[in-house]
Amino acid sequence: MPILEVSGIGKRYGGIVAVEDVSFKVKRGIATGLIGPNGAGKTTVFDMLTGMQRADRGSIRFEGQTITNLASHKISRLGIGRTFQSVRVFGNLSVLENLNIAEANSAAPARHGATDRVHRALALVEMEEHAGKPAGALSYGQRKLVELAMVLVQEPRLIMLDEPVAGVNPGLVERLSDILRRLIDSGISLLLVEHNIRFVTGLCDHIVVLAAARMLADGTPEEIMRNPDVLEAFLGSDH
Amino acid sequence: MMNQPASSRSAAMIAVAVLAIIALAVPRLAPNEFILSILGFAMIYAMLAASWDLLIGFAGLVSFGHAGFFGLGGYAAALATYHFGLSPWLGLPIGGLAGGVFGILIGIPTLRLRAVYLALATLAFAESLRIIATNWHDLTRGSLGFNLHPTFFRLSGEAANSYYVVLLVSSLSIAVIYYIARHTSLGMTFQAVRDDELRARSLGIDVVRHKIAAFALSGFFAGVAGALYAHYLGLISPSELGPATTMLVVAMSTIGGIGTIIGPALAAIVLYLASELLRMIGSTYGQVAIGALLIFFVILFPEGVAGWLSRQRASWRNKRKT
Repeated sequence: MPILEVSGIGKRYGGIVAVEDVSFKVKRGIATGLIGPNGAGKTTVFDMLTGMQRADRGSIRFEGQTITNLASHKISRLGIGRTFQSVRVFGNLSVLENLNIAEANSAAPARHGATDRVHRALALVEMEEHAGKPAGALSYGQRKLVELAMVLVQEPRLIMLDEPVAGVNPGLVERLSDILRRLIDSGISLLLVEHNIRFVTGLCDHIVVLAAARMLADGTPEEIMRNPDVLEAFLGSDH
Repeated sequence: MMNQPASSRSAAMIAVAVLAIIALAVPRLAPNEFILSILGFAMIYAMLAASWDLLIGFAGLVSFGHAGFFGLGGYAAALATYHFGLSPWLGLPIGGLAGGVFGILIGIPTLRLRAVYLALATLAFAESLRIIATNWHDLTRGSLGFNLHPTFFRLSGEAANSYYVVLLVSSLSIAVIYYIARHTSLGMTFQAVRDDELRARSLGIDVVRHKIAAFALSGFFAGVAGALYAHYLGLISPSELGPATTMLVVAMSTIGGIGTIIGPALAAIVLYLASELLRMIGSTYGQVAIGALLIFFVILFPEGVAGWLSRQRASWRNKRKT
């Protein structure tokens, strides 16, 4: 059974169609990429999946349970974590406090050993030495890692990453790629939106393509890279 | 919670201990009823400022209706004594509960409001209470308010006793507010909601429940402060529900340093004592001086005294490292 099933979801803002009849499945224990040109509706899909935006139509099921238009904090507590396109950490609080807040509000906050969970997450993203620093004082890339650690400390079964490597240096792209591979190996499912196609094809086993608010294609990276409709959407008709 | 260096923690503990010794020694050093009286009121305002800071400084909710919580707490305590003959000691939790419930009642309908809109809505709530208190003569005795004599805390006839009661209740309340704000996951979650609601929701935080909790907690402590005030002064009237009370608390917190709890509490004590001194010169000058001080701080030290000191300390520490 797929961990996430999206069936015919749609969203309009007045007369503007942001997402129209999009359906796909996210398989358990692999990374699924959601790609498409700017304005294709990827972030709107993410927002609907995590309850940040209401879907006008369609249904979303997580582990067999309908979560369509459920409040975002309830979706999070079911086991779905997410990061944002513009990195979002609590800048006035220390890195450790950011993780403590995430841990305390997870589906099953640890009565004992919360510190272990926090330190494991910090260790995974190699940010232990920055634990006492205010999150707002870190570099953009470091804040991306803290944001990921905040999600990890909640021990979700599905992590949704909105442009995880946008704006970060090539060294950090490698590091993030390595961390995400380790997460997949540990059984966590990933759904990620990303413009870096090399990163997506290197990490994902399944790719969903959106264009102009609609589903264009889905398949393995090889199938997607050979699909003429996808090539046209990304490169134009003269490719 | 912030990881304060051990030296900083020790300095803070020494400062608290020195202040506690001074506060306890005042009735011996200056056994003057007037001095004890204004010190008591200063402590009540310190508690009120700390409760307001919990709401704005930690939960990010701008309330200009704090006088409503304060006055309601005072009226609830007075009604309990005046109409039902209950012990004024019971008036303290009753005042707190009244403030807390009013906090929930304000919190629910104003959840979607932000910044100036929330401030106006809370101001309107407090003003409604003031109008009710002024006009519902059968229940509130209108603009006369309640005379609560003999004042419970002075039953023994010793002004020092009532001073100690106020000192104990207000100090404990400020300590509890500080502990909640700085050392509990609830306080940290308030800060998360204040800093980024969207991120907070995505981490499983029920933003609505936490905002209501912040209003309830802040209202509770403001209500206890109101009850304490009513029994300490021996009077509660509609003027305590007026915007002047709120503005005084806003000024105290802004000058002390919003988001620090201790800053607003200390500033409240200093400003209240200063305003009493200035009142001796003439009430107009006193109000003008506080207004001028507020403008001075908003322009030159927007983070308040506590925020400025904290920044200086951080900068000094960085210099020492390099």
